Amino acid sequence: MTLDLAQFNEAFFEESFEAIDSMEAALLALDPGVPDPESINTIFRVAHSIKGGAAMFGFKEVASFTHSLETLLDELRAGRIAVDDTIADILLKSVDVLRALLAATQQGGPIDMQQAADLQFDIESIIARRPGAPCADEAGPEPLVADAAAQRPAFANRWHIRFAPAAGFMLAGHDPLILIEQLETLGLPRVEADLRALPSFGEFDPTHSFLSWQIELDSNATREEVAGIFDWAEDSCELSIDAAGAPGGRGEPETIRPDASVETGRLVTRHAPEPDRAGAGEPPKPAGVDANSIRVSAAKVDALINTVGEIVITQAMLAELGARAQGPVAEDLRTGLGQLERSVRELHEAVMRVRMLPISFAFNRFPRLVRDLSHRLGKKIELRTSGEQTEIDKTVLERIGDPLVHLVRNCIDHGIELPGDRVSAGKPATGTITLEAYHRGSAIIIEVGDDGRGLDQERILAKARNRGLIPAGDTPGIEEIIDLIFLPGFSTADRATDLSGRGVGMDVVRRNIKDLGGSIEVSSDAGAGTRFTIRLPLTLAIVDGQTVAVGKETYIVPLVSIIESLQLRARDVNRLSGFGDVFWFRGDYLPILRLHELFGVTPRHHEISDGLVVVAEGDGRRVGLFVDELLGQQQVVIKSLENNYGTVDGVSGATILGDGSVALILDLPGLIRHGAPRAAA
Amino acid sequence: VSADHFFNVSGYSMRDIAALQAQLRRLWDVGGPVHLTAEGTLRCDTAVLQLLAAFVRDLRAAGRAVVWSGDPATVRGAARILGLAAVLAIPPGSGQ
Repeated sequence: MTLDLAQFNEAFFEESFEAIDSMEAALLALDPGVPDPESINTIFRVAHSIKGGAAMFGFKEVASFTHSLETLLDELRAGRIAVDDTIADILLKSVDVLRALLAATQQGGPIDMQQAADLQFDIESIIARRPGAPCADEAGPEPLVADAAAQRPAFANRWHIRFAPAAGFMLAGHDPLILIEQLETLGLPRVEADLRALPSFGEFDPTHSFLSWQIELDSNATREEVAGIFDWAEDSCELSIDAAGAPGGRGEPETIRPDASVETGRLVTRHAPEPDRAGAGEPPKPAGVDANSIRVSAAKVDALINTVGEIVITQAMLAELGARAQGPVAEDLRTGLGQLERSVRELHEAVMRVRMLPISFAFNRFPRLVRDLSHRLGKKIELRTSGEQTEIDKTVLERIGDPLVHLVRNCIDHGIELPGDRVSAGKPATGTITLEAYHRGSAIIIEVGDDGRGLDQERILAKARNRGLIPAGDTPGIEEIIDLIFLPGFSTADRATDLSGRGVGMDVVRRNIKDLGGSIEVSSDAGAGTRFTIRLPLTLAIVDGQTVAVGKETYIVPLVSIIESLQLRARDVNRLSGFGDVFWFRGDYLPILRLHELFGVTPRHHEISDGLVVVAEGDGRRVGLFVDELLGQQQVVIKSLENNYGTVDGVSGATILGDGSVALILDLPGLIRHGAPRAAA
Repeated sequence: VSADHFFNVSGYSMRDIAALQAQLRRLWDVGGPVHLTAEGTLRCDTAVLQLLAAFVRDLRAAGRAVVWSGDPATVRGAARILGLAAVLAIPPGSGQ
């Protein structure tokens, strides 16, 4: 039987990228002066797993690079090479190279091996220069044993493991090599193979297992973590794991084979007392695997959400019918429909939660970013994060990453001062950048703040006046001045750096956030710092909308786009040549977009004074949407128009209302681009 | 030593272990010293090492020489993990 490993490629890449993230986090937490052995072990385990997986899947470049990296890490964890700043930098660069190698391999694109080769050379040079070099292989056939005996770091536990695969073990797809190799991720094993059952070569069935092993493992791992390595194979082997010195320990494992007549009998192991009391009482946790989670493709989850969305719509339709029902069973019907509504709501919320991921996936990149950029700029910056476990929809999470990077880079580049300047200003030499996330209602709030110099309002105003963005003589308020930083191409930086200052960024940040149905606000105190507050919807599958009527049609205007709704009098409206009808609103003339004209429907009202105007914003421009009537506010499930029909300018999707009718959800930026003349908005 | 005494074990795994066994049998039957190499392989598995362990053990018991040529780094590494480096008579590497 041939197993097609390609089907597992994507899972390997996903897990590897996640593992690299955790490796990077552990590296950033590593104090070169006093490195935590467990952190080094964690980093080693990641490299080891990726190497094993890459080799198994045939990704030679990744396997080769991680082999060198793993060797260096093995030297570090054995204490043969000390961790210093140079090595910490090389390890961080290795993370970048590994990420790039994996990405190129995943995408099937060309692999730039030069950077990897250079770094691999550096790594191997360090290994070769270590005291006592040449490398471990030259110490003898069993270098691990020899080295471990000489320089074995202090481990909390010593485990005696007896591992005897059943005859059919390898035929079942298991490989003892992989299992025993994984023990190295938990500590330092001494391995003795027992060849007594190995037949002579002439009478040999090579598909059967004849070897068994006695392993002494020095480790900080608990018994459950050690046993976790053998989790998948425990039904087809004899396994005992005993603490050193425990009764029945070395050489005499207390094992019972319930059915010795079958080759793959499940083994029962009598556990000796647990030497590591710290882990007592905790549920068993296999190494590297969270037994309480499964990995499911996003497409499957989306299909489930879509189906539940249909159920929500159907339930709403039934509720409307039930409300109109009459007769002897009407009340019972409404009671049943009420229960259905509650259950459907719970189901909907539960399914939506499946797509939710902790914001830590977005936050995790920042320790590295802050570290690297602050070093480059000669600044001292501490990053503080909170609310990393706050959950947000996967798509929102993926699309908020870049805007957050822009904001944090701005904080580092423009916000936080140089240490000398900070001390002169009476501040600590080390600046602080904070990243916070929390839920508020049906939104997630992300705050990015710094305790730097704050926005220079006079400078912003002067720049804006120079560029003619503010008429001479106008004295805008503080909020309006700060809002200028979101104008395209606006920057007060004297010179552009490769980090920021090109005026590209803040307008993109706001546009990206608006595209997600969110908003961003800024507050700043001169000398005390700046804080960006981002408000995002928890999900893109549902939108809070204002339903409006135009003729017999209903449209949904996302609430996040609406500034105000008002009724105009005829005299409030002026016709400007080239701009159509406009009205005066908070210091600007805004164009009026008549939805019935844009969508070709017959309205109930043609006169402006008979209908209503919804003032809405998109892409930094404001317009007045002329509608017949406001119907109400409700959450609607977004259905893709592109998937079901095609792209329509000014429409982001559709939804099905409770009465079964379809309502278009307006896309304000698209609507304005498509329908609004370039008015002074 | 003729080419009949040389064999590269690279690339074999549980999947084609019977083919490896057939090749080793041929080496056995040729007689004389056996030269093995495993350069260029990135991974081997227990089935291969177990078979090699029986082969090398019995060859040496029969008084025949087993010589590893090149730098069989991967096989050495895997043998070390499984505690089979001594029985396979793989020499220490010159650095990987």
